[in-house]
Amino acid sequence: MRQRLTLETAPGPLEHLPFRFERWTDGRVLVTNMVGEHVFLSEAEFSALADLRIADPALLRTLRAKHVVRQRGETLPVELLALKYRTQHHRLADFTGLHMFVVTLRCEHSCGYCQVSRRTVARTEFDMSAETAVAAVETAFRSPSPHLKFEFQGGEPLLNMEIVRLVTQEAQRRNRDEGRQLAFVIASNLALLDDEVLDFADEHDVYFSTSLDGPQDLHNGNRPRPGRDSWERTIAGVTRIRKRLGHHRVSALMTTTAASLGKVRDIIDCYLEQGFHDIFLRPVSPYGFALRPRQRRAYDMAAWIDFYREGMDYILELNARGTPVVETYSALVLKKMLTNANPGYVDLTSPAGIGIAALLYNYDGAVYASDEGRMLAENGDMTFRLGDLAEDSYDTLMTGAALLDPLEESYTGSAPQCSDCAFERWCGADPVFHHATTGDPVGRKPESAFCNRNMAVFRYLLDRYTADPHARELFHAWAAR
Amino acid sequence: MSDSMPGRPDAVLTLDAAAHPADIVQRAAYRFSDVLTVELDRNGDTLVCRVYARDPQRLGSAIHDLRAEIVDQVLRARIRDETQDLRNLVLSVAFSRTGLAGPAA
Amino acid sequence: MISLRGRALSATLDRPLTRELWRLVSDKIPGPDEAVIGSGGGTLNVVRSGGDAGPNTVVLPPHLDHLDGGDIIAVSPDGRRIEVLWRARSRHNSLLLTERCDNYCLMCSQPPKERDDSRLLRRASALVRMLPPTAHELGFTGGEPTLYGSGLVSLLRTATQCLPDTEFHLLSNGRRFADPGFTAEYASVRNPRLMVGIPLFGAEPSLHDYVVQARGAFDETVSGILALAQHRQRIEIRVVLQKNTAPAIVEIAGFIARNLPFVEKVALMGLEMTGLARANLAEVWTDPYEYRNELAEAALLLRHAGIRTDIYNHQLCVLPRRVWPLAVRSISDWKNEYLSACMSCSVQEACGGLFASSAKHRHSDHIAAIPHPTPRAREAISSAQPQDMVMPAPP
Ligand code: SF4
Ligand code: SF4
Repeated sequence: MRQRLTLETAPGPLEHLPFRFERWTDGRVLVTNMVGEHVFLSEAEFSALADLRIADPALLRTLRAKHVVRQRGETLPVELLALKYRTQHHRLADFTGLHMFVVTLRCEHSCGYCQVSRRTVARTEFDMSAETAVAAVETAFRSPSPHLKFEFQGGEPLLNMEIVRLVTQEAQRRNRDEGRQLAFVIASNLALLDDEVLDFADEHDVYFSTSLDGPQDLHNGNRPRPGRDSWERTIAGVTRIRKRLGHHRVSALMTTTAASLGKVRDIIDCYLEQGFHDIFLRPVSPYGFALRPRQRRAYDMAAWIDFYREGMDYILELNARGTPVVETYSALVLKKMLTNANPGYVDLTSPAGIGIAALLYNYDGAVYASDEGRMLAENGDMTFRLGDLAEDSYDTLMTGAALLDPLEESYTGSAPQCSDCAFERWCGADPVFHHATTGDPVGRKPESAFCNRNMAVFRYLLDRYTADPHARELFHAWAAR
Repeated sequence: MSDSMPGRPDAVLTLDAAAHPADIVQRAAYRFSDVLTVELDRNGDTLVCRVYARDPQRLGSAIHDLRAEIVDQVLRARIRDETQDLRNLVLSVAFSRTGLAGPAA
Repeated sequence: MISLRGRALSATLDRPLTRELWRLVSDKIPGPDEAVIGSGGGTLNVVRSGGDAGPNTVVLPPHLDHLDGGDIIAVSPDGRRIEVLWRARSRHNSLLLTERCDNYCLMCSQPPKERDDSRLLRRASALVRMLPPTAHELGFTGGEPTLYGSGLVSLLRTATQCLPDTEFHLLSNGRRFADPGFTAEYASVRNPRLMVGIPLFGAEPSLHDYVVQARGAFDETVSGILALAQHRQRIEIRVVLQKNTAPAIVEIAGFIARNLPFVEKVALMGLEMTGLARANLAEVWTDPYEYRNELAEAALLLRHAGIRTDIYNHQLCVLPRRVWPLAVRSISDWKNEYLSACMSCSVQEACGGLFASSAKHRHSDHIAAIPHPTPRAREAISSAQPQDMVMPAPP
């Protein structure tokens, strides 16, 4: 007869692997390991973990499985953690996939929260020139990323289609030798969409991204234009694009203004009515409240958090009833929480996404690390201006002090509070934001709207994930997107 | 942590200095920097922590939270020290070419 | 389980047979390694149980009467013992390579025996050379085939050369692959149609080691899986749900999704009531009805991690409907059984039914006909993208 092995709990001395924790008001403790895998413990279980006196075999199994503790000398947990860590950081090797072109500052809208547009539609001094456009394409192709996404912004990019065409054709011409994956997106309010633009989009596989703030009155209130018909024109544009190019060729982005607060259900309903199943409950570009705190549309982050929670409750309810809707920001967060993939979204990348994920070429040839960096520059703050296409190459842009200093300082692994925050692996640092709000790129986290917003999102998602099996399943599906 | 330190603190905590290094108390206070600021003084074996509230209304619960947070920060520091070497080992394996699979694990 | 071996009813041989393996043919002049089924003039004739025993003839026992042309059997030198090695009409042929194993799983269906049976490996190698190139699929099982080391690799190499279009599936406990030298040798076979299926019974050592009754097995198995992945080998993970593993199934799925997302496939399998599972019934039996929700959660979690996930040996009536699309209609084409409840069931066609052994020995107490006509099978399973791990370069 063989000697039967018993189900041993603690075969040898245990030791902690690196972990962090955060207390919940109901007494539970969130524990995250070195790569952001999480487990909730009761207070008693947590003290058992802290003192390494773990009597409950199931708890010990969970903590070993989640790489929170190991038996002394075990190498497999180290190897697996290293593999996960390496995978999470792999994306950083794909430098600079997103290239934004501000082809003109002109716009026929005059939105209250817009920081940049010039209403004078006739004046072309705010248009990107052909030389600048070609130099920007050249720079974009210097990035080592195998995927290059060209996004046309404004102002209203449809007011300078000439440059949009030039950039697209130039990029495709260059790519004949390079064979990278190219994508083109026009971010437009669609008011000026016509057949010529559609022909062009059809021929060159161009996608559209438009702004839709929600129901008609809300949207038109946010986005004044002569005729007060922004919403109607956007919807008409969406319909035309879908009819001509297919349903998936246009996506929509909303901005939460003070007028949106309390209307999240209406906004989500409007998206569904218009056939959009992805919605990004996005705070007004943080710089909205950061830079002009006294302006009419300002609201504080606490109000946005309520807005988000109510919206998510509704979205989960809709999904449970069989109507698929995805909240894009939550989906990105969940990807980081539940997988080793790094979605590379600018706000959620540490080291901060600036420069690494994106470069922005302004109409005048100035290069910024992000859209927000450009907005600061419009307000006279040149901190995040990386250089100028007329003078700098990709290499000098990317190694410039303007890029690297805030990058290093913002790295969440070393910023105060972030360095022992249990959410850190899912979070990101946003140096431009912190610079704009506090004058230094690290920011004081307890007062930082960025930190408050992310913490609220993490807590909300974790609460639903642990409490509700349907949400858990849905969240795994979102994380897989 | 010094905004404009008024003369009288709103509360004073006395801590065993050996068990509560100043930087740990600072870290704990940092988490509440929207509510309070602290001033630390070493006095022999004790660490005197003077608390100044930004909003005296919220001081009561904030002091309680600060105490709990100091305890947690002590634990965080302990875990950090204890796991420092393992953390470095994981990082070095993560960014080495072949992982642990080689002969010298 | 239908026995695939048996005693001949009679054997009338002039002299002992010099070869062991015979391919049955029915209607042509037999080649040197072919036996005629029915009466004929070959070196060896094989007749079904009702037939006459002529010269050089063995008479099959009744339970092997289904044998026909194309099947391959092993016949003992005196013609007395017959073993079926290849059934031409089955898509699920597998060869037992050894009964030795360094694990001793609580519910093993093929309890290990410690003795030299390397003749099984030699026989497999001979069989592989006899198979038609149209052979669809061939499995290699044990025991633990990797105990042969290079011997197994040579078999795989031979199989790859003789049968370039056949899908091969090797079942292994994975421990040997922790040895980088062996894994490199295995990978050098370079057969894109070769997949290795490796059982995993826990998300950490204590549970897995207990279930397989071998200390240190988890570390070796998982290291083996990592080594295989470094060499870009195709891997399937098999989890058998039993009393010890069922409560941990979501944790195990989470572990696979997060640490081993590069595996091609996960099979979540019901307990087979044979071998040690019957001997250890009290330690391993649990009613699938009790763990059905966790099983569904685990399966969908894996699907969302981009891993193809199938559920085997589970009856539809004990599975939540949202995972019906993942349930594989059984077991194999000749072991299915149904209970009386099944007769009025609307999904019997789609259901795997039960192992004969389960029907006989132990099955869920909740087998109950699904009354309504074909229920809307939820397709809710999203088109998850496979996730890659950034594997270090092979050593
Ligand atoms: S910003 Fe806030 S939530 Fe994010 S890591 Fe830092 S402290 Fe944590
Ligand atoms: S009643 Fe029988 S046929 Fe129907 S689902 Fe159950 S086991 Fe399958």
